[in-house]
Amino acid sequence: MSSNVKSFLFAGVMCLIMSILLTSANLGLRDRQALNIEIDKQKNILSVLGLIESNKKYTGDEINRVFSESVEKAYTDQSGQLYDSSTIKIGPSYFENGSTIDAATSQAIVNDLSQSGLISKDGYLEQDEIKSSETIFNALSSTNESVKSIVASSLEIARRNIIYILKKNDSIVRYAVPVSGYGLWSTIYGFLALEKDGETIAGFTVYAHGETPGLGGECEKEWFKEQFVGKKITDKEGNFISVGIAKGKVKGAIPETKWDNWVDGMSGATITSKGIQAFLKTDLEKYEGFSQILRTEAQS
Amino acid sequence: MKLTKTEGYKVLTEPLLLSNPISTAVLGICSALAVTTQIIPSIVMTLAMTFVLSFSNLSVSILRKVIPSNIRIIVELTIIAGLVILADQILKAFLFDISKQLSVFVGLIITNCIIMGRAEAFALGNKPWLSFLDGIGNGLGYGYILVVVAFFRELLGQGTLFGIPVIPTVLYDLGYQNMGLMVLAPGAFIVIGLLVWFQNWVLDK
Repeated sequence: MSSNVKSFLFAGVMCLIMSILLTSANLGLRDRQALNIEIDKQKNILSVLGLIESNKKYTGDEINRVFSESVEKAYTDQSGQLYDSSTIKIGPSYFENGSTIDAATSQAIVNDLSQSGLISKDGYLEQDEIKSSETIFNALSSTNESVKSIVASSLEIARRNIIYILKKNDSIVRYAVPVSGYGLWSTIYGFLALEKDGETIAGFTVYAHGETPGLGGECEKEWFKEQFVGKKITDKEGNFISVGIAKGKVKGAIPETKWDNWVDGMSGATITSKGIQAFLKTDLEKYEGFSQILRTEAQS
Repeated sequence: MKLTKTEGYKVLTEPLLLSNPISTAVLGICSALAVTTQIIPSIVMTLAMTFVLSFSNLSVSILRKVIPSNIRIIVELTIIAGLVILADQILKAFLFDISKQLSVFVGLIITNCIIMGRAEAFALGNKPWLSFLDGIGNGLGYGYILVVVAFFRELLGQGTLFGIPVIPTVLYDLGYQNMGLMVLAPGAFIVIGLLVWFQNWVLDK
């Protein structure tokens, strides 16, 4: 046997043994890891809602108990209504709207969607199933362009997003929403909590990321997260503008009138900062319906 | 033969002081700078590192006669990488908070030159048992520096030890402040530098 063949053979056997070892380790530990991740997520929701102190130790059971006792999990769409479940029931007349879409067309659209598997046989649409408008367009064979875009946008509006609400005596105290998006190397996952006025940030936290420690990794540090508290996601007129991350310090980079909407950036991590700024905006926008209702209530 | 005279004892204890991987050979500095802000992560890092180091030494030593020499380094790297992933999986399952704190540095054990260095320099030429002991010795030698550095950095930088505040509040009232430098990487450079100097000075005597 030549030495090259021997090398290849050795390498092959080596890889096989290693992969079996790692796969079995992963399979064996997966459930435990998933549980840890879930508890860590709940812990982050609790801390962003101000229910636990971030530097104190809690056991998994404590977290679980506090979470299920005080946090209400719900779903909201762009109208701002709250729902118990993320599943939308789509009946034959769901898309009927008087002017452009009549009963027969609506029925045809629903048939198209269920035939292509986008909604289930009995007319339920899971929230994760709301596909890009392109997929919806392709599924609708029996209608024209303008109807297609109406359907796509009405499904987009109906998209339900999860929201975690902290209530006291049946009135909302704070609410937390998941935020996530690209930084430089990785997807950053976190939560942002707003006060009941629908515009003041109550907390921000990052629970998973793969940014460079010391640079973009600073986004999970206390100093960065706590600056968000008290900032506003609206301008002085009350319009939604989200919150920005300055390049460097807010003092100096941003005019004083806008200080309420900006936090200090992380030095050496411009792209991570920009990424966070961008996904905070897109993700908060999804909850504008709900936030606007609270803002109107707070003013009256 | 006395215990202290056996070869195994020598192999185990030499890396602790005389040929310490960090303070004498100055290997594995990257992780020593990164994880030593607190004592507990340092200890966990030491355990993970010792686990990987001793078992990679053991496996390389067992296979030392069959590893084709032209792909020697790749094989060593595969073994090391496999063990590191294993250590990472175990940490994620049982010590989740600490594994989050150590973040990428567990994965970066792979690139720690101590491991590759010991596999090349020791395990390839010695029997499995001795190589295993060498791995433990080097892991602990690495760990002892980590813990000492972490002790000073945590005490001076955050005023805590093992996460428990130890500086009396009276001192803070009198104007004492935590040294911010110690929390940052340059603080570790300074502490490690002083430690190397101190050790060489003691050994010279």
